[in-house]
Amino acid sequence: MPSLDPTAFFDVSFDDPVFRLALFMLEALIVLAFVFTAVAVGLRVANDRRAARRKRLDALWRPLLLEALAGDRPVADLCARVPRRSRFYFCAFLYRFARKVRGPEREPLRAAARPFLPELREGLRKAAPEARARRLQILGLLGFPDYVEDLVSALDDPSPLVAMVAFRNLARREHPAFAPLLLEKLPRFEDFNHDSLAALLAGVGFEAAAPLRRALADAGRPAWVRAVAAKALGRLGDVAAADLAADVLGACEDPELTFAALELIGRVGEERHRAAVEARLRSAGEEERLHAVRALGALGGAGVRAALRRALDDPSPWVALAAAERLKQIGAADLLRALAASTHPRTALFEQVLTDNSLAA
Amino acid sequence: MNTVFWTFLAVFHAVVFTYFVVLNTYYLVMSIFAFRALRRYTRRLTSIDVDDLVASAGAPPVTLIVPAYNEAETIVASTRSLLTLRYPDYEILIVNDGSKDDTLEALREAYDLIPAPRFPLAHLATAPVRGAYHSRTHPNLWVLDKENGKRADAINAGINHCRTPLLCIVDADGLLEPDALIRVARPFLEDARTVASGGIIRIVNGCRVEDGLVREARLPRNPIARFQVLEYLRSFLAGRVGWDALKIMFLVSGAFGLFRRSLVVEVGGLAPDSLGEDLELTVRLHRHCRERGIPYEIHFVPDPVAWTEAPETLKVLGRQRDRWQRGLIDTMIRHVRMLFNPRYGRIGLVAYPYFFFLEMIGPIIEFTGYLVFLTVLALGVASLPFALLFLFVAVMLGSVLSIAAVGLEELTFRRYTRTRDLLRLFRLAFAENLGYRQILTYYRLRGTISYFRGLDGWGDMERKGFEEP
Repeated sequence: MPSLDPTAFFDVSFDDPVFRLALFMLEALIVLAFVFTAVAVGLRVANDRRAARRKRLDALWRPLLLEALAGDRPVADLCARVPRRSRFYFCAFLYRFARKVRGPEREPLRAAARPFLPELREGLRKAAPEARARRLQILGLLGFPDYVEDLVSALDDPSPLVAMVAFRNLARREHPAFAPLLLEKLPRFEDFNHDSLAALLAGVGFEAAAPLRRALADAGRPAWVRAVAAKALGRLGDVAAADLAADVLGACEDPELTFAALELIGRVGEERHRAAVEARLRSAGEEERLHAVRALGALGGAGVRAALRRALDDPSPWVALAAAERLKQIGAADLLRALAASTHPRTALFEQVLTDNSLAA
Repeated sequence: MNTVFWTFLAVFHAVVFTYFVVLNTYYLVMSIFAFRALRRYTRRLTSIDVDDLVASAGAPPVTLIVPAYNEAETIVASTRSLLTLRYPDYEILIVNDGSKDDTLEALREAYDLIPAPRFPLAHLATAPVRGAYHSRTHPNLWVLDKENGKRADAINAGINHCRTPLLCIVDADGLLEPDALIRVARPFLEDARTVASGGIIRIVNGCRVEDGLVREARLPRNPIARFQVLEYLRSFLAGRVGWDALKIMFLVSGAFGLFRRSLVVEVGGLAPDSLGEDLELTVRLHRHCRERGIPYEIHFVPDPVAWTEAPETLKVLGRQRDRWQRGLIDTMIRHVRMLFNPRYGRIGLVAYPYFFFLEMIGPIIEFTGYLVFLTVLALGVASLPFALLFLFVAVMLGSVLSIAAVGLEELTFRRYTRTRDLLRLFRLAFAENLGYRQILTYYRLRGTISYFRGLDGWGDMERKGFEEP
């Protein structure tokens, strides 16, 4: 038998160190199994207790707050019932109510939160991203404008969530001065919904139109940022932006910016912008032609009828469908009826549009 | 001959023993890291209403890409589950991959689909797309109808037609929890470098399902499915949470994973010729980012839940595991240059070697180990008490890991609220080592043999549907 005898590996007695080691491992494993389970259950109990404590605090604070809101009790009474370790939770409790009310009704809530906000602000530096975001939400709603500097610096926070909370809180109608700053920081929000960003910027009000126009005209900015600016200007109904949009269409290849410029012209453009839109009807991109047809339809006027008629022969059925729908909407149903009765290869499509009652002229 | 035989036995014992020690040490270390990570995670979770925070702060738009092939039985219920998700901005894109059954008809009827234009933003090569449909009842629901090209091809078609920065791959036979999307998106909200994140997959068999939602989590009656509940818990709560804590997330499950669209397009989408396309994609993302010096993060979030149907017969389970093993080997061979390559950081030095040696080669060692163990016992050359003790330690170690997983479950979600289910899980932790584990080892070995024989069958899953008494 060779020296590498496997039986030597197994041929051990109860007194052998290997056997003892194996026994020790077994015991250790059993203990470990119990420890794992016990700690897990213990932590679970601790979490349950915390949840129960919060429930009790909610039940304690809620009636006091309602009385304070009704003016029957001073806010200080409520503040006195806040344990030290529950201050953040108290602010979050107030925040839940504050979101539902506006104007002077929010004042008692702001007053109740005020003593605890400095401590909340301290946590901005060390808390986890979600905790930072929640703290900023509270500071933005219950501490504005005292904590505006924190909101501004949070625009550069490494967490997109925290930065977005700051962005939302700074995009306010009553503080249009932040609009240039928000536009400057916009590039870091590329992942967020561009329509929502445009809505937030438009929500600042017409004072934001000038910086938005500058952003749209600035070819050095990312195309999607310019597209957001175009969408925001469209929402604001900024007639002065239509010329810029036409210029963009003359020089732009980016699909998102092109579509946004087309939509902007559709909303606020005039007859003189029609040529820029019509040029896009000759694009190789099916989606671009579709947007151009929609923009032409929205632009309206006598001049678009011929262009839309040509679009009925577009190789894409979707472009043709959109053209037919727009023709009906601008009152050219007679043209569609004539075509539906002709030998045009898309008569079925025209009949479908003519019978669609949702497309009122 | 005799000498050769004994030498083989001796060397093999050393290999098996080393494998056993390394594998279980790895599992134990992962469990401990997972335990710490989950403790921290639950503390954070209970301190803030994250779902409300994300819902009010806003989140990046997501497209759920749902590849569907012959899913007429479950597609309406799983779509309903997807439509109930709480997420600020998402759309659902079901890709009917040339189903031979009534998948498209079922969807058309249930959700009032009409043809609508939907243009591709990317141009990954796929089988031809026949058309797109838009729901008139649910504006965020789209269906893409294409010719059959297998799962990866269907997902690639969905990626081409995805118009949001993030895309989420979801299996058509799965159900998502209402908060699942909010939670799986959290790493993207916390860190702009995040390129992918995955959530936990749980077994829906035996659960009470109503209106596309799991109303009560219960253990399945079927023993094979029941063992898989424990297996999934261990794999996700101990394994992947541990990987995440160590920053070595090597696999984002294709059944429920969130990805950055631009990067997935950049790496060429899913590999249509891979059988383990989710693993392959994750490894390719790691490789792509590391080779180009792109800062990136891939995460696992332990509580967004996707429920899936598990096989209830050994035949189907065998086919599934066979395929998984072939997919693993395929990925390991494609990216073998990452093995112990410091250029790929801890992915090349820790994660890849684990999958290569312990997951890929492991079944061969383990299965041969059982045979050798039985041989030495039969030949009467082993000390019986020591052999039994070794076996007992092996079983106990496996059980401890499973008990740890059940403990982690109790700590985080406590899905199985019935005490008898919890006790059953503890019992299963012991029982799975006495038969089930060996069967899985056999299937994985069979998968290894199938791979090297060039077999490439997919292995169909038999669906029963979610809502049954």
